[in-house]
Amino acid sequence: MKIPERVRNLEKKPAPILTESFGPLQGIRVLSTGNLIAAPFAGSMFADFGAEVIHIENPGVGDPLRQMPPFIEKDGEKVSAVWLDNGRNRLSMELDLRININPLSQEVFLNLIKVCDIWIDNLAFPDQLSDITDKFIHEVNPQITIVHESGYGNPDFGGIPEVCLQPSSDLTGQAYGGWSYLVGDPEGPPTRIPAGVVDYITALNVFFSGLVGYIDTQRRQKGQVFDCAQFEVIARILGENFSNYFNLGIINKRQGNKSAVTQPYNFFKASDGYIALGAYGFSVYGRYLKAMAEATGLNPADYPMDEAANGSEALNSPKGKNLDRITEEWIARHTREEVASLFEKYEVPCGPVYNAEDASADPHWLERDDFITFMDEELQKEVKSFGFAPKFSLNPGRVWRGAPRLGQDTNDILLKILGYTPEEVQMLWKEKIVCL
Amino acid sequence: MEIPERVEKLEKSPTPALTEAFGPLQGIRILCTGSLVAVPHGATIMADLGAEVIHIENPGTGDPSRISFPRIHSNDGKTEISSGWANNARNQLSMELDMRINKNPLSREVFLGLIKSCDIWIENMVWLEKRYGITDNIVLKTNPRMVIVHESGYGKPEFGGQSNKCWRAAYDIIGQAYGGLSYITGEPDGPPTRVEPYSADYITAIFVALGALMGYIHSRKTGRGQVVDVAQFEAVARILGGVFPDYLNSGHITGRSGNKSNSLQPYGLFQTKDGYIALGAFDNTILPRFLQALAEATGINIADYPTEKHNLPTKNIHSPQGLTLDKLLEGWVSSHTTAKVCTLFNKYQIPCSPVYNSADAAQDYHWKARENFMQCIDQTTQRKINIFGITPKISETPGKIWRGAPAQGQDTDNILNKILGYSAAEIQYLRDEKIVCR
Repeated sequence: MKIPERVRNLEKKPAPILTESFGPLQGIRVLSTGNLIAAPFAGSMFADFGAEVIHIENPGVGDPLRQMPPFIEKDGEKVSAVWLDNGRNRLSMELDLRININPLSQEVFLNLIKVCDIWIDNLAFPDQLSDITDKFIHEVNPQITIVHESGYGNPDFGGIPEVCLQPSSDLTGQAYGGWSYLVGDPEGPPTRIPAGVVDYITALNVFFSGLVGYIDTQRRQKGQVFDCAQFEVIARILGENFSNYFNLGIINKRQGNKSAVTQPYNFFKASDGYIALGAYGFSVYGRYLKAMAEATGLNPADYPMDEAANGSEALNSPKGKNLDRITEEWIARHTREEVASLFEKYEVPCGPVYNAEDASADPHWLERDDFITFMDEELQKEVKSFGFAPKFSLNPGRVWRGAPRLGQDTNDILLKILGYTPEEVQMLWKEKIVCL
Repeated sequence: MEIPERVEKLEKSPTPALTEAFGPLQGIRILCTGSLVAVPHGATIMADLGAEVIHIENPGTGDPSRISFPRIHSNDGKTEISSGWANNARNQLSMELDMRINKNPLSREVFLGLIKSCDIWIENMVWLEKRYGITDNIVLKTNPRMVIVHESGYGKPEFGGQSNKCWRAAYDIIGQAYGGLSYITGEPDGPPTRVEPYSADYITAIFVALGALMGYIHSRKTGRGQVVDVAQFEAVARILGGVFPDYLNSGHITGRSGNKSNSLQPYGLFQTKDGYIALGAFDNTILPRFLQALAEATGINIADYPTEKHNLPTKNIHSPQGLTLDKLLEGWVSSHTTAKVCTLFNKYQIPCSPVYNSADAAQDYHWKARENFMQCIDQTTQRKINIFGITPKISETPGKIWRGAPAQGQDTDNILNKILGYSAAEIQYLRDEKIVCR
C-alpha cells in the first residue's frame, strides 16, 4: 500500500487551530474515531485540558451517544444529558470511515493521521478490515501514538482471536473483568455498577495511554501502539482480588456494605438517611473509639484493634460484634448531621451518601467551582454540568465550547487543518465522504 | 524556609538509578509520600511502565496497607505481608524517612534532596504543613520544574471549597458516598451499595497519575512546574456521566435502578440456570440481531417487536411489548446454562459475558493468553507470588514487573547513596539520629 501523494506533502500545522489555547495539554492534537464512552471520553479529558480533539462521527447518524437517554429538553430542542457533557470541547467532523472501499475517505483519514499526535480508537479493529494497519499508520506518521480500546483486546497483543473480536459493552467489561461479582450483598446476586462507570474508567486508561505514549514519543521520536482491553482495565483496579486467589486460594466474594476485614467500614443508617463511616489504621481507629466513648460511654480499652476490628476473625468475635452493634444503634438514633459532627471532631472519616441533588446544594462542591455553565451548540442554550478534575494551579481546564452539533466543524477541519480548497470540500460532500 | 546548601549543590542524577530501564515512562523519577491506595496505586501504574518510584514510608510503622488482611506468609512461616501490599507495591522502591522537616534539619536536607532529584511528587499525607512543615512554596523553590500532585478526600483549600471540609479525613468509602457513586448503585428499594474493593481509591489513583503526567508534559515544554489538586469526591463525580447534567438541567435525581437499566433494554445482569451473565444490546444496529437471537431461542415473531417500541426512549421499555420482551428474555436465560446463553448471543454478535470471579478469570484461556498473570518475588516474604499483570499493553516498550513489593525501607541506603550522594558514614549518622531506618 502506498501513501497518497497529497498525504505525503501535507504539512502539520501546530495545534490549536480551531480551539482556544489553554491548559497543560495545549499544542497536542488528538484524533478520536470511536463511539459512546470508552474511547471518546478520553478525548473529552484531553479536550478539558487544552488538547485539540477531532471526534469523527458517522455521516448523518452521528455518535450513538447522542441518542442516549435521558434527554435535556429546552424549547422543543433536546440533547442527551451524557452527550452534552462528554461532547464539550470536542470538534465534530462527519466522515465516512469506510477507508477500505473509498480512496477519498482514505485520503482524508490519512491526512488526519498525519496532523495528529495521538489517535484514540474503538472501532471494531479497522486494521482487520482493510490494509490500513498500525504499521501503515506509522509509515504515514511515525510519531503518532495509537491507542486501541476494545472489550477483549486487540489480537496483535495476544488472546484468543475469536474472543478479541466479540462485541462488548460496559456491562460485559464489569462481568468478565470480575467486578460485578464483588459488589452487593453476600446472599444476593452480583450487582451492576451503573452509569457507564466501567466505560469511563476504561476511557481514563485510554487517556493515560495517550499521555504516556506522547511522553515516550518526545523521548524516542517514535510512536507506538497501546492496547486497552476493558476487562483488563477493570481487573487492574480490583486490588488483591487475584493476589488472594493465586497465593492464598481465596476467591473474593461479595461482602455487602460492611467490609469483611476491617471495622468500622460501612454505610450506617442514620435517622434521616445513610452515612459512610470508616476508620482504618491504628491512630484513626483509636480516635473512633474515643468518639464512641463520648457518644455511648463505651470503654476504649475493651476494644483493641487486633481483637475487635482488624481481620475477619476479630470482626466475628464477641468484641467485634459488640462494637458493631453499639455503633449501629447509636447512629440509628441520630441524624446524619449529628453523626458527622461527632466524627469530624475526632477526625474520623465520615460522610453522607449523596445523590446529585445533595451534591449540587453542598457549599463545598459549589465553592470548588464543581458546577459550570456553558452554551450547548445543539440547544443553543446555557446548560450546566460537572466541572473539572483534577485542578491545576497554573493552567486549569476550561470549557471553550459546549458539545457540537453533528458535523459542526467538518468544513473548518478540511479547510484550515487539512488544507482542502472550498471546491474540493464541495466534491467530498457530493461524493458523500463528508456531510456539511 | 531556606534551601540547605547541600541541596542547592546537588545535581540530579540520571534516571533510572536503581530500577531497570524499560517502558515508555523511563527517565521519569517520582517521589511518593502517601499511603494506602489512592496515591500509591497511582505511583504503581506509572512504575509498571518504567517510572522510577520512591515510596516514602514512616520509619518503623511503614505503610498501613502492609498489615491489612488477608496475609501471605513466607515459606518458613516466619514473615508475612498483606496480599494487597504484595500486589500494589510491586515495582516501587521503599525508603523509610522521618519527614518532619520543620523539626529536623537532617530530614529537611534529605527530603528536599529528593525533591530536587525527582520530576513528580505525589502525596496524600495528612497535615502536610502543620505536622511536617512542608509547603508547595519551598518545594517549587527547591525544584521549579516539579509537578506536585496533592490527593485528598475533599481537596486543598487553595483550590476552593470550605476550608474546614478540606481538612476532613476521608477513605474510599467516604469518597464513594460523598461523590455520588454509592447512591446510584443497588436495588431501587434497597440501601445504597458500597462498590467493592476500595473502588473510589483506585479511580482516584488513576486521576493522580493523569494529573502527574499532564503536569509533566507541560513542565517539560515550559520548564515550569505547578500544583495539581486531586479531590477524591471530584474524581468519582467526574465519571458519573449523565447523573449531574440530568439533575442540573432537568431537576431529575438519578436513583438506583438495580441490575437492569431503567432506560435501555436489554441491558443488565441476568440469572441463568447456573450463574449470572451480563447482556447488553444498546443501539439500533445491535437490537435487530438481539431479536434474531431471541427468535432462535424462543420462537418469537420479530415483527411483533418493532425496535422503536421497546428500546429508546425510556417509556417504551415499559410498553406492553417492552415488558413482554423482558419477560421472555429473563425466562429463557434462567432456564439455560451460562455457557449455552453466551454461545447463542455471541453467535449473533451481542455483547454478553458470564459474571466472573477471580477463579473463573484465572482459568480463562483468553486472560492467560494475554499474559495477565505474572510472577515476582515478594521482598518481605522472599516468596514467589502470582499477581495480576500490566495494563495497558504496549507494542514497543511494554511495561514490566522488575521486582515484587519491597520490604519496608529496603532501598533506603541505595537511595541515599546513589541518588542523593550520601556517604556510608553519613548514612550511619542519619540512622543514629533516627531520620531514616534500615
